[in-house]
Amino acid sequence: MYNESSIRNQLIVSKTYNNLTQDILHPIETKSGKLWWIAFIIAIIATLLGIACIIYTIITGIGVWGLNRTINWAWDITNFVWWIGIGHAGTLISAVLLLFRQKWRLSINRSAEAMTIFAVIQAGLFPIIHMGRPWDAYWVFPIPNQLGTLWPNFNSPLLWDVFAISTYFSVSLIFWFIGLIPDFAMIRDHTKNPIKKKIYGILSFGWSGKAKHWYMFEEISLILAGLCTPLVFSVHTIVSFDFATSIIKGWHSTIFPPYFVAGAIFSGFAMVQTILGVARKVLHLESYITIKHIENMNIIIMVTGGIVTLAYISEFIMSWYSGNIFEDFTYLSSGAATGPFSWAFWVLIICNILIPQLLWFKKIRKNFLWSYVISIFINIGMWFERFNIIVLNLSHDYLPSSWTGFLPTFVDIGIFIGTIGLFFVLYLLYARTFPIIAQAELKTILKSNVSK
Amino acid sequence: MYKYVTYIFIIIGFMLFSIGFYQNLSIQKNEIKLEQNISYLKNKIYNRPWSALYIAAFYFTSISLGVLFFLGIQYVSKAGWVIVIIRIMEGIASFIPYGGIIIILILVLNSIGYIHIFSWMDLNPIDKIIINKQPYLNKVFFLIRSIIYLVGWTIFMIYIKNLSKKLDKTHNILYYNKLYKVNVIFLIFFAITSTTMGWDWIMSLDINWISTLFSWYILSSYVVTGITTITLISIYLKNKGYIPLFNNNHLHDLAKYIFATSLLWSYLWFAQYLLYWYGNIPEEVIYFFNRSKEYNNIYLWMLIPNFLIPLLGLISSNIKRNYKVITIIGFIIIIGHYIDIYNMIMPSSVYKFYGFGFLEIGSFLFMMGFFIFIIQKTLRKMEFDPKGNPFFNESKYYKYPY
Repeated sequence: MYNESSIRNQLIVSKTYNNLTQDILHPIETKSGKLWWIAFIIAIIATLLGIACIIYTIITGIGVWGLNRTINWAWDITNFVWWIGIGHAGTLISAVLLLFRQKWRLSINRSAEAMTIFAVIQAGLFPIIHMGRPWDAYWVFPIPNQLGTLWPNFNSPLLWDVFAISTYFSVSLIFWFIGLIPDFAMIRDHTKNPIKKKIYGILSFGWSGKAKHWYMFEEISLILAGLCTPLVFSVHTIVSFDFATSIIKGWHSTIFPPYFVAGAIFSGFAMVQTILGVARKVLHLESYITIKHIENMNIIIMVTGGIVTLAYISEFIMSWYSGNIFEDFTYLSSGAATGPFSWAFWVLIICNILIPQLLWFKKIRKNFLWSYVISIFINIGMWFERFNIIVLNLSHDYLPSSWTGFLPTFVDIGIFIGTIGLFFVLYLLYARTFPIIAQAELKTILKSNVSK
Repeated sequence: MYKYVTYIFIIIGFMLFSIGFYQNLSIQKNEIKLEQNISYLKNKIYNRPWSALYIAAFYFTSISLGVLFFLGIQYVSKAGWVIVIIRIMEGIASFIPYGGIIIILILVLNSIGYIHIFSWMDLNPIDKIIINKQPYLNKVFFLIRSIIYLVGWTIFMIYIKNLSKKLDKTHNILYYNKLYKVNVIFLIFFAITSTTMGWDWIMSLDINWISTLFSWYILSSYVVTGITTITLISIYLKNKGYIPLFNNNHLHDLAKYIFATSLLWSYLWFAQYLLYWYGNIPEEVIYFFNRSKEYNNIYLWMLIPNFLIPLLGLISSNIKRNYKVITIIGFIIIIGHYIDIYNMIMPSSVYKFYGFGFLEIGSFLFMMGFFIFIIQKTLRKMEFDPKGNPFFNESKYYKYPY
């Protein structure tokens, strides 16, 4: 920005254009190191475990999961929402922070968007597996199907999810790809390998860096950011409707939609910290993803975490205030804090409310290791949040005779580990073949630093 | 000449309100026609003057509060563009204690049983409707809380204003750092108090109805009006030549915020409405059911000024820089959100004996005159350009898109 105030810190110092180009090219041009191969093999093994469990589920039936008549939804939907939530940060960074012209987003947006896309892929797996007959998955789309009269139930938020998430996925993918084009072109121009040159040439759509191209690029980025911003809200709003309308008949809480959105951003940023923390160390990106970036992400975690805390408190007080005895056992009530699932309740409170408060200390906020550890706690806490909403709520049916607990089987756990594996497989492949930092855009802020 | 406009508003408002009040008092109870002959419901007709005053008082106080909140966000996020209009925000926020006192007065009169818009205050504390809420919802704690909100916001407002004044005089960065910290603390205080304030001041009017989202919904409503008020006053002062640094780049950003917060309001409206419509539980849908039966679906019609007009009117970049169109849309939004507050308060306190006459217009004019009077008085004492702010130059030469 012109006339930038002197109290604003420069984000990236002591890097030239050429440094940046070489640093981005380095992982693509060189052979993978040992560490990468070890990580990749572990991820592949986890993926294979997941695939085996999925095949076992599909051949045998959903009965192999730990579900029972009362708790007819558990790990699958928990994982689904957890992954969707993780995906949120990418869109927020790329779309909302673009609209707010936050330049610190530039070092992290590419990887966060990649994370979004890979996370949504994992999320999408769960409903498809849960259908039991994944080959009929296309029936969720409102196309006349061969049964003639069976059309999707438009009254169900689960169907709205299909539309929301597929829109979200496709817009995020396009946004991500558009951003990649100038960077692919850079790799195309620099790589010596003819096959790579060909591939990156196709991917870069003939980008030549003309003023016209840049103009179009800016326009489309802005339009897609404008489209993405409502999607940040819509996806998790509809996910929250799943629970608010259907998990227990007659129970709902109107705060769910905005609170789920905040919670998704909260968990998404925690995952960005976790993933980028590894990438930063392994690929030596310390001069691009600086402590300032980590601090900024921590501040966003604090703000969204604060909103989530406020929502928890509202929930808790209102369930007491309503005086409704049927609300006494539900998610975030005194019954939940003392009942059979109190351990899950307290894991949620400790991981999501208490531990993130450490970030109020500047020393912790600016410390890589501490924020890394806190981010892992938040990931766990957000998983338990969904677990609480679903399992805890379902465990008390309307008939006391059918009250029950829940234990996951090895298949539940296997599929979950499998998705984490697949996520890392995709991420590791991405880290070796894609420009992991939006170098073309990042160069624009180097320029403003040079001109000062 | 302009100096006297506010006095005229106040006087006319007061006169109209008095006429309306007299008319309301002279209604005989046995003249009231009601399908069910319930004396308790008939009594609600006498709440109307107080409800009308409460609506106006809450409306203008919450505008100031929304502006203070918005100002806090600007400080905490280290926004650069906004600096040329922070004085205007400080001026609008100055109304908080004045409007707040009127609200507190109504609450006190209610708790001593002189007026009856909060029906729970007339109930016996051991009544089964509120006995479980006793630890939180009792008159003493209610008034203490209300005073804490008001005093808290006022102290923060005065402190922020003083620090910013000192920053201007001394150009000392230490004051800026202090401002940042104070605003962080204010935002935390505001996050908690705005939530409980929504429960106390508005939601408890309908004692049997709860919605966990409701406080955020109210919050979004007054943030929209707050930002719209900033915009309108900035445009007015720009036209008068007081803030030459304000240009259409700043207007563009303000209009974007109006657009964004209007959509946020619509989103929260929708989230609350959809969940209650979908659940269709009698004790919850009664809120909307009464409003659609007795109030001609006003809660749906208000989507036109509050959602459709900002959405369609403000989406284009060119319009966001057009002073005339923004002024018109701004006034529409201000009216739209008055309807919103009306829809929250009136049906809960006066049942079906509503109207829009001397009482409502009078109290609105009276509070508006008072509001403008305070803002004028504060702004007159201020230097408009916050030259000491470290982001002043960023704002002065701000250009969109850069």
